[in-house]
Amino acid sequence: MHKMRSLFAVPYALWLLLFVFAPVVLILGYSFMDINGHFTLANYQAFFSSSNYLLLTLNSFWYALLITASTLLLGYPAAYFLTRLKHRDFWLLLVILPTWISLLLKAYAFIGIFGIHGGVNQFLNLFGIPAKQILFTNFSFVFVSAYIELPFMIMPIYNSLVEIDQSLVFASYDLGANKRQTFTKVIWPLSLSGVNSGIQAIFIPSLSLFMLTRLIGGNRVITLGTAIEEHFLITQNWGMGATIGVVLIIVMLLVMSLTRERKGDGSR
Amino acid sequence: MKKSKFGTIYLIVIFIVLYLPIFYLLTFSFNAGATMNHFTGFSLVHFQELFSDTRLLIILLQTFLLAFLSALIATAVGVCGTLWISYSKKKLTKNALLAANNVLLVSPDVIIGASFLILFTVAGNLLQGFGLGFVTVLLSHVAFSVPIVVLMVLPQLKKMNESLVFAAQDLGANNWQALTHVILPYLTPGIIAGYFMAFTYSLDDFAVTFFVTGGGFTTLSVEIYSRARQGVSLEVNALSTLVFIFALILVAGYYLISKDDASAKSVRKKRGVSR
Amino acid sequence: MKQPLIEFKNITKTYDNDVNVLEDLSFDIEEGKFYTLLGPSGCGKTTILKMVAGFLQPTSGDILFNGRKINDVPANQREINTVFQDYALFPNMNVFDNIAFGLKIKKVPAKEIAQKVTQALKLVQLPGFEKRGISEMSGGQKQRVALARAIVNEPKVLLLDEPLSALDHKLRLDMQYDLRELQRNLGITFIFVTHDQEEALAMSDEIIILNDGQIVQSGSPVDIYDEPINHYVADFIGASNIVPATMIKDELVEFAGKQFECVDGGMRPNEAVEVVLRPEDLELTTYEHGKLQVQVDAQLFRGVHYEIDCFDKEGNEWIVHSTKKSVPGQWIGLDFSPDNIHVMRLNESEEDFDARLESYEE
Repeated sequence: MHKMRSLFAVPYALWLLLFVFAPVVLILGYSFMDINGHFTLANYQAFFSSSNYLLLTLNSFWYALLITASTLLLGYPAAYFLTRLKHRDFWLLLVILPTWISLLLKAYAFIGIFGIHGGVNQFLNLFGIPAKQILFTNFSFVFVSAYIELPFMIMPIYNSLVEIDQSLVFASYDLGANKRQTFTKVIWPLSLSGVNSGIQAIFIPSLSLFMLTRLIGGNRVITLGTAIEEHFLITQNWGMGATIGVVLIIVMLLVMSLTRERKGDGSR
Repeated sequence: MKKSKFGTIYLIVIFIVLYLPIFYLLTFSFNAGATMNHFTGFSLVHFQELFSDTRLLIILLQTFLLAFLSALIATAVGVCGTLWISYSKKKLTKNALLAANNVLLVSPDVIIGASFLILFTVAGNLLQGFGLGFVTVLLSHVAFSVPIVVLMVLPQLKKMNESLVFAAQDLGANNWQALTHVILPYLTPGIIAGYFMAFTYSLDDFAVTFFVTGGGFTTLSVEIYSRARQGVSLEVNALSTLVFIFALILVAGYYLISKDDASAKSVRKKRGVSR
Repeated sequence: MKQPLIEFKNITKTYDNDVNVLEDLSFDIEEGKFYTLLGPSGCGKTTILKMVAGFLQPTSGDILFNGRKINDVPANQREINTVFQDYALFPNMNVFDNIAFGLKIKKVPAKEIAQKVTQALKLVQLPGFEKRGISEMSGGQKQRVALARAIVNEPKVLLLDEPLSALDHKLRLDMQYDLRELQRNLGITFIFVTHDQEEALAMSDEIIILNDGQIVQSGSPVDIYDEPINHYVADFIGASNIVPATMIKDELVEFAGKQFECVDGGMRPNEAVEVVLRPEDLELTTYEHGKLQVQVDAQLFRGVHYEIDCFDKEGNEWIVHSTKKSVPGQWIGLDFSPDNIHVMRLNESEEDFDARLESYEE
């Protein structure tokens, strides 16, 4: 099997080298480079001494938190009720269907809906509420992001709920627990793995959704992702962009270690 | 199971929220007017515009060609990787490979896009004639699809009984014959699923493409983004309607296949029990 | 002496964790016999089988096939086929293609393949099953297809890795008859691995009992059943009464506080030993008539007999199989003849055991 194994290894190893290791090394390397390609710590210095960048990071974190929290709050009950439906596979598929439409098209829809003459304002006009600018606000960014990410929260939670053995629920009732106790002591702990993967699937992209901030959030830089895009594609300051990228990677690793499945603590 | 009234109402509200924006989008594709604000009458004029927009049609074709090619290459590389990972005897090697495999899956799109942009620029400085365009987009799509393929094929390979390979060798097959006669046919469902996923990931990608396309080559997502940034054009709505119908067909097909599969499985289970 | 078909010469196998799975193991396999490797899980029997098949290489020592060293011959070039524990039928092929697999690899003409497959299916009593899918078959049927897939290649040796363990009891009994018959008809060597002593006793010409990577005892089923070499074998081969005893002198042994005539000897005077008395060799009798007096503790009805659990005055447990009923709590007598007593020395090796038997019986 030895010869065969090395034969398989070649293309995959090449991929690992070129598209996994090289990019990581390059982005780290560029974060220590100034605009002329010389080694410098100035990018990190600039990042950690500028209130702009720190505020940006904090903001990005805060919006990601808002988006994640609201999808969890809305998504958990939805997933829970979905599991109790008769044709639950079918209804889940209806939750998944919107994810098959490009997020750009969904964001585009909200340009119409949230516009000054758009659907929401027309609806509010019926009650005599004057038209307001909803588009290009931070609220619209959070709302649209949450809307787009909601199915990605419902799916993993639904899957973890479905996997719970019904006899565990019956056993809980049998042993005298009421509905509330059954939920907090049995169902919720057992669905935590789904909640964790939902949080992971939403929080990290929320830090980097630059296209939404551009389309819906009114072109202002309010997330780390937008800042990276701006430095790489607009101001061409790759060193600074790479530095922000490294910060984003660190935040990502932090979130992952917080939500990773803990092994051997009896939660499975 | 008791039906809760609150649950039903809650789900109805969630589904309305999920689908209202989409139907808003689709409805205005039939608008005779030019805005997404007032529906002034039914018309297919925007679809006509769409079908006579050769630029958009070429981009559409390019996007599909890109998805087809990148998924194909990614599937080949991914299957190789899966076999390599599973044949690694040492646990450390295996875990390291799996971790490395997942790097691109968990990384945010902007990071992938930015780091690939650096990579291709560096490569362009080293290699003459290598610049941003179709090739870089293709390479990027292959790159981010490979781990998805591995992830789809690996469970199938794990499910495969090790003794199947032993049995093939026992019956005289050499390694290559064991691979082509037994292992690959066994992996086929996973490979197809992997290809399918890679295909949809490629179709869906915007951010990575946006970084590495360099203006010479455009995909549908990049085109939609640039049009959306210029404001409302109901041609985009018409396009959305087509995309939605396309997704609907795919999802319906998937549902029917998986339902068939599930019922076949349950039949098998019943038979297994009653043997 | 005839050339053995397979020889294991001082085989040691060590896995990554430095534990010897097999230690300096040597044995011969002769042509045309039904061998069983018997032992609990982890005793090394499957490792031996994998080495014979060619899936594992020994760490040291040689494996010979017809006198030729085959340590490095890969599995696909050995005239040996395996029936796997979980059948390992290829799910992407139907019954015909599974059985034809080996023949197709060897590029046998299609006509001949069809003929051979049909014949193999007949041999395993599944005629007409060619077009069946693997998932449509019961466990017993899969078992037979796996068997057909192996024997269709006409191997010199057929390896069977606990092939009956997944079947239910009745099917297992049927397969024992069928396997024995198949082996006789084909005349090839079978090496059967199991942890089930009943299977081993029922089918084998030769049983090799393993423990912790070493051969404890080998011999015909009758030899092993009647004269287990030590506590381990006696216990493993069937429900036995194994009681500590003292060998007073040749043909006189003391246990349960009394002295009994026996037929064993060749040991030191007053040597500490163990005696085996099989449950079916003990007969219920009245307290006065019994050689041994015991109190009945519990009784189970086993269908063909009662299993009666008794204790003597010294606290030794005695299991009796009897067609007669007894009353728990009652004191009764047990009767047996001197040759029912089998005496075992502690820590005696197989060679010493054989040597002692020979010297004593001379």
